[in-house]
Amino acid sequence: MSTDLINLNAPAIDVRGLVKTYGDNEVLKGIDLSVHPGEVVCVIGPSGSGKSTLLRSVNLLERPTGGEVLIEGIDITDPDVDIDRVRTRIGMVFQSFNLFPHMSVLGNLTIAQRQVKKRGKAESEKVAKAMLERVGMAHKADAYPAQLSGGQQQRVAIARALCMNPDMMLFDEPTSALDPELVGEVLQVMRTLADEGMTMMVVTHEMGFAREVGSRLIFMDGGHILEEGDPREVLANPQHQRTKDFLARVL
Amino acid sequence: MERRSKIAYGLALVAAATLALAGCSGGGTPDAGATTAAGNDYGLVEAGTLTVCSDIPYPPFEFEGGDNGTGYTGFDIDMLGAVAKKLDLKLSVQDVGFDALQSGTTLQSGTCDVGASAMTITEDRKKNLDFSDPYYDSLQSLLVKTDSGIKDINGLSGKNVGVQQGTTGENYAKEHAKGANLVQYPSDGELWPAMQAGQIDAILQDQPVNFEHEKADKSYKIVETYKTNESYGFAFAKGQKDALLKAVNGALKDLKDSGESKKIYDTYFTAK
Amino acid sequence: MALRRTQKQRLYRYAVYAVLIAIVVWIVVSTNWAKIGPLFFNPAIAAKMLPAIITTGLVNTIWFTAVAFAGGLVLGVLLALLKMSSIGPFRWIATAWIELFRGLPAVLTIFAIAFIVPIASGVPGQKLGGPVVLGLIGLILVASAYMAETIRAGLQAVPKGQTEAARSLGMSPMKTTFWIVVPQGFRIIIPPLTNEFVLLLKDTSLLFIAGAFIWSKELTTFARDATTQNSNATPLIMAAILYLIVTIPLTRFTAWLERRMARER
Repeated sequence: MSTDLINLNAPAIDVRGLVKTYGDNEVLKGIDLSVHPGEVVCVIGPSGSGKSTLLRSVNLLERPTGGEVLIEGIDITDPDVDIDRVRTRIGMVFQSFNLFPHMSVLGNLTIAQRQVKKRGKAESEKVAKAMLERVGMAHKADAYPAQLSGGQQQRVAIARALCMNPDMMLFDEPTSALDPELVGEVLQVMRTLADEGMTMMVVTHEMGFAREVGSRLIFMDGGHILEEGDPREVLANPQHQRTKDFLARVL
Repeated sequence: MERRSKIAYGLALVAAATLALAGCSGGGTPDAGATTAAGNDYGLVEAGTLTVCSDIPYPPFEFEGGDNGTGYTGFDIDMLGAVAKKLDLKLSVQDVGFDALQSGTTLQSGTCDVGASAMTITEDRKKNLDFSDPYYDSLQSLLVKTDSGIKDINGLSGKNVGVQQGTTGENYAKEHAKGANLVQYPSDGELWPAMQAGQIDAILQDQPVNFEHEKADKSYKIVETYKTNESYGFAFAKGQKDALLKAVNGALKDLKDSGESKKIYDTYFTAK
Repeated sequence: MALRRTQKQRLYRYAVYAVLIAIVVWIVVSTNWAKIGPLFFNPAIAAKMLPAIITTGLVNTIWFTAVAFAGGLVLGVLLALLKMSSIGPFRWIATAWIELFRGLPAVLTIFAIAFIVPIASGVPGQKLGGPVVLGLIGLILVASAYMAETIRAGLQAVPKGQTEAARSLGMSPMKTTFWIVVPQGFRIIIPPLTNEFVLLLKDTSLLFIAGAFIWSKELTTFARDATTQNSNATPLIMAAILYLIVTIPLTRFTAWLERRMARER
């Protein structure tokens, strides 16, 4: 099957002419975007700009109306693709964490390893504990999500995604639902991941993170990419009026 | 108002209401029956009418149809129709459940004057019912599939035998069908489909009912009949309808002497 | 006399109490206890009924309810999943099944399975399991139709984000349903399912129409038979009391569960 042939020279994520329509509403009006291995691409923009839709199209949580999405050279919009298999290469972190409440932290981290990657109990627990160490949550392995704070839950969610050893991570406004004092611990984990070379695509409002950690900044508005470039450049010298307006409101 | 007078007011209300409603309770018993226009006191539920309770249908004893104005007909209905005529009463028929009827509950509650439902006269039932003189000698029989190889009651060992709940047939089967698995159904309405569906291998019940099935379907036949020394009687609420009971018995005797009851019998039980 | 509002309310309350007391007094006074006693509350017959009314009647009722509930639950989950499927024919089959067995009176469904199916198929009823098994199958079909809707509502109440997270980890739709959606959905539907259990308990009284062996009589049939045999309605009253002894604690338990679930939200 074509999923087995990874083209290592291809970009990690390659979006070509992506269009997404809901009924009469065209949310994405033709997006072209490439993310290369090791890049940290931050996507910013006003609500309704389509940035979440773009991110969710990358792992096919939204099915494109037109255009293509290629992951490591494989066109995931092809109906014959084994999307479950492709998704094991992409880790996703959600705004509302989406931890499984009926399982412990350890359970959350091992369920997909055991069911999808077919790892045994001992091996998946070893990987889980290692990932929990990375995010600083090893001491809570037996706790249940309801017992954790928002920041703790999100860090566990990141660890859960990492347990599948993905080649890239998608973050959909990972700190927007957190109380301000908890945002820092999550951003710290994300920064560490970036420093270790993880390919990341992050939809966020945290401009500080974009400036310091991002390798590329993309500004979206009305279903288009209006501006993209070095984060420091774009944030300091926005070219488009709409970019200027948005940054003026946010910064 | 001061508190004391409020309490007194409230209590007075309670007392008055209680007395008023208790005074209305005089007519609670169902036996304060009407007298007929003719002045005789049978204690009828409805003046001038003989109201009959029966578990319908149970052909050929009672089923829907006929032209006597009640909507029902059958051996029991026709017999009581003739009795009612002798007593100068109209006939009315009510469909009720067999359980409550034969336990005495329905008649005690005053729903009707007499129960007629192919009911066997038994000592147990006499505890709660008064019976008329017997009007039919009960015969049970065994219906089987013609090619089943069952020849008699002993051939039922290990087989499923269908019986109707609470009947003479059920009691007979319990006593005499050695080794048989008795399966109980509410009525012939389920016994017959059960036989056709292969749930049971035989039906032990009233001969006339089995006879109807044998007539209707040649793949089933009656292999044995059983005299039970039991008879059917018409039922009355115990101790409450003595005058009516006497009158009915008198009418039954007249019908027998005049040959009218034999005519009704032949209509239903003689092969045409 | 000009009454203040509180005085009026108090007077109103006294009047209501007076009427209620009067009604009770009237019922007690006008009831013919001498007649009712021996016919409905006869100690001698009650003694005769024990222990069989419990060891056969009540035990069978509970067994049949448990079997019908378990079968209905398994089938109900299947139907719920079919109804939520993206494949059209699966949805149509599930909808047709649910509408059919919810629309028919349970007693007719039991009759159909016990009699019509063997006659129509030509296979003798005894080969298909006999009256008890076929009657239970009929009851299971009815239970599954009612439970399917409850289960579906529960499964759909599980937040969409849960499914998205599981799928993003690479879990297939089936694995996601089994490991993530169903366990969470069940917590939501436990109170309505307990309610279904109580309804089923009472519906076992309809199994008589399929035919009953002496050892397979459930509580209602047992009581009706005993009433016929003894020409006395005391067994029916005993059965009523036994039913209440089982159903009332269950309904109280359901109410407690519902309060607890509401608190945990």
